[in-house]
Amino acid sequence: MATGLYGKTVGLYKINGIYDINTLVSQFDSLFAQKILINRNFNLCIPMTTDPTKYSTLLNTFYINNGGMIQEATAQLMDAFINKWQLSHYLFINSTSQTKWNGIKGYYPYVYEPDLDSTYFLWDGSTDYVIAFTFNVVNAGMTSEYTTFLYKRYIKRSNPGTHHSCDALTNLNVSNYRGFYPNGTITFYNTSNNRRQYLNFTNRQTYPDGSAQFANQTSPSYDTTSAEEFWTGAQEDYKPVKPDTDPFEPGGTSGQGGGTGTFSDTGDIIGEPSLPTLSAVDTGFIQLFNPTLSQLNALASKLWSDDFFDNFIKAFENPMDVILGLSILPVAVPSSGAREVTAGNINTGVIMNVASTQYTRLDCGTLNVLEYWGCYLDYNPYTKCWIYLPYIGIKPLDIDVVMGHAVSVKYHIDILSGACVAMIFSDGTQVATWAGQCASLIPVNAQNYSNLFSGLLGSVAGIGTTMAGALSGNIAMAGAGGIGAVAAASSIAKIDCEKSGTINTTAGMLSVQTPYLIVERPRQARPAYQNTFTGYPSFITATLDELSGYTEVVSIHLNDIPATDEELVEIDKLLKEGVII
Amino acid sequence: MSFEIQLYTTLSEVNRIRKDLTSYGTITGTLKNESSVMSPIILISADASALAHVNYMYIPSFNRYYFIQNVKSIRASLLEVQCRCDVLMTYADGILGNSAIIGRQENLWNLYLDDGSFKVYNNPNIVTKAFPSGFTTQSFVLAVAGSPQQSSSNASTNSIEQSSESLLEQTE
Repeated sequence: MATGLYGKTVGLYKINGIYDINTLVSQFDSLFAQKILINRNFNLCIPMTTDPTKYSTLLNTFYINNGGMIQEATAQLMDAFINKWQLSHYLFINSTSQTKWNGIKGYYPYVYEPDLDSTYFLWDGSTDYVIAFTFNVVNAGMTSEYTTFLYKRYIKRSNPGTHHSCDALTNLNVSNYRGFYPNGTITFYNTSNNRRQYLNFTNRQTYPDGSAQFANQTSPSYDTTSAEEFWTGAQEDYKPVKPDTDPFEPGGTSGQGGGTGTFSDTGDIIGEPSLPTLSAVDTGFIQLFNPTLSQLNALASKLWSDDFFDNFIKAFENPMDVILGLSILPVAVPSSGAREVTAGNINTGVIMNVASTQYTRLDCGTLNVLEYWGCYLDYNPYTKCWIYLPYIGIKPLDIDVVMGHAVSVKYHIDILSGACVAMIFSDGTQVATWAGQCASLIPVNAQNYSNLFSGLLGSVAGIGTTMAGALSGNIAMAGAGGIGAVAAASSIAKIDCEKSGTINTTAGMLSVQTPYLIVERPRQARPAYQNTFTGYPSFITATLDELSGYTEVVSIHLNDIPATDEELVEIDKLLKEGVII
Repeated sequence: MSFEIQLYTTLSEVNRIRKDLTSYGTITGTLKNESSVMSPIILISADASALAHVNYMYIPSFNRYYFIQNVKSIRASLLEVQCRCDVLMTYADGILGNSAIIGRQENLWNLYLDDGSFKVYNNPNIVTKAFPSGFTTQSFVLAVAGSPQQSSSNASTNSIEQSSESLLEQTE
C-alpha cells in the first residue's frame, strides 16, 4: 500500500476489494480535517469536450483517481466526499475508463498510462493557495486496459481560451513547501533553503497534448518524516505566497485613499528675530564710537600731533594700529552717551558718542501687493516679481507668496562689520531673506586702502561673472504655461535675465536706498465678449437650469430623459462640446 | 400614415437648448419608408415655396423637434424633407433638470483656474513699487582697540599733571 504525505497509509484505494466507505471518509477526515478542509473551495477548470475552446469552471471540484476501484465503490466514495466536504462537483475515472460528473455533462477522454504515484493539485479559488497532496495509487497488477489513472489534466484557470495541463508528478517532496497558482504556475517554495521550484502550467500546445506538461519540473523526493510539520505550518500560516515576478510588488498596490485632510491653514508666524545679545563692545577689547565729522577731525589731528606721537611711539609703532576700522554706515547708530577716546591706553582728549550696541535694525515699511485681475494671471508663472534690496541687489521673489498679502522689508545690521540681513515678510511671516554688506570702509592706512580697492575690484568682477552666468548658463526658461502667446508661432520660451549683480558696500551706497518691487505681468489679448463664445473655467457642480449662457459640461449623468440611447449619447456629446442655455 | 407637422423658423444657435421659434403653420406629411424617427425623411404634398422660410419643425406624433436639413422636390407638389432630430430642444426639460460638473461657463466661473485657451501679448507690463522707507541716514563708525577703562602710566602722569596744575592754580 502506498504511503501518503503523512507517512501513513492513506488507504484511499484498494483494488483488491471494496473499502468501507465510512472508513475511507473517516481516514480522509483524520488526515486532512485540520488542514485541507480549511480549503474547501477547490477550484478546477476542466475541459468538458475535446473542443479546446469550451471549458467550464468547476467550483468545489475534488478530483480523485479511484485507482481501480469498482465503479460502485467509487461512486459511493465520491458521494461521501461530496457530502462531507460540500463539494459541488467531482471528477473521477473509474476502472472502466468511464467518467462520472456530478452535474456536469461531458467526458474526459484522455487517459494515459500513469505512473504509480500521482500527485494532484487542488487550490483554493479564493486565496490561490494550492494544496498539493498525493493519492498514491498502486494498480496492483491490473492490466493496462483497466488501469485508468488519470495521468494528465488540462486545467484552465480563469482565462478563457487558455488551457494548461497538469502532469502527474512523482516523488514530489512537499516538505516545507508552499504552493500557489498565479496564472498558470504552481510554485513550491522551499522555506528551508529559500529556493523556488516551479511547476509551470503555461505554454501548452494544442489540445490535447501528450507531451510533458511541465516546464522547470522538479522531482524532489518525498520527505514523509517532515510532512506533518509542513502541513501544520500551512495551517498556521495559511497565507498565499506572492510570486516575485512583478518588480514593483514590494511597492504595494493602489487602493482608495484620501479624504483625511485636516483642511487646516494654520501655521506658524515666522516673525522678525531679535537682535543678538552678545556684543563685541562688551568684551572690553574694542571701543565703538559714533563720531561726528568734527570729532573725527579732532581725533585725526590728535593722533598725528607731536605730543601724542611722542607718547605713542613709546608703546606702538604706528598710531593707526589702534584704529581697527572706520566706516560709513547707512543707518543711525544708537548711542549711550559720550566718552573720551583712548587710543593705545593714551587719552586723546577727543570726546565722541559711544555706540551702545553692536546691532541695529531698520524697518522699510509695508506694501500691499494687490491682484490686477483677480485670476490665475496674477500668479506664477504668468506674473513675475523681483525685489530690489539696498546693499544686496535685485532678487527674484515668488509672486505666489506675496500676491494679495502685505509685504514688509526689515534689515538687521551689524554696525561693527557692516553685515546686514534683509528679511521679507508676507503678512508678518518671513518668506525670504538675503545677506549683504552695508558698511563703506574708510581707509586709515595704506593696508586699509589696498584692501578697499581689492574688495571693490572683487565685487565688480563678481558682477561681471554673474551677468555672464545669467546670459549663458543660468537662463531660466520662463515657459508660457497654459497661456498661448499670440506670437505662438515662435516656439522659443522667454529668457529670464538677471537684473543686477551684488550691490554692496560702497556700490550699495551709490545705489537706490529704498527697497522696491518689480512686477512683470502679461497683457491680456482678450477678444470682446470672450466669455459668451468660450466661457471661462468653472469646474463647479450646478443644475443646468440654474445657468445661463454658454456652457460646457465636464461630466454629467443624464437621467429622467425619455430618450433613446443614441439620443442620450448625442446629448452627452453636445453638452460637452458646449451648449447655450 | 400621415401625421401633423408644425413648421417653424428658428434663428437660434444650433447648440442652444431652448430655441426661439417662429411658427409657420402646420402641414401634414408621411414618413418615407425605411427612414428613422431620429433622422426622418418626410414626404410632404406641397410646393417648395411652402417650406421656403422654414428651417425647423415639430412632429407631435414623434414628440420631437427637428432641424430641416434638406428639401428635395420629387415631383410637382411632392417634397422630400430630410430632417435631423434636435435632441437639445426635444429633451430640454430633462436636460436642464440634470446636475453636472461644469467645465466652462459664461457666468459661473472661477478665475483662479488656469485657462489654457487664454491669450496674452508678448510684451508684458512692468510695474515698480517702492516701499515706504529705506536707508535715509549715514553715520560714521569708528572702532578703536583697547578698553575704555584702561589708561597708561603716561596717561596717569598727564592726568596727575593736569590735576597739579589745577591745584596750583587754586592755591595761587
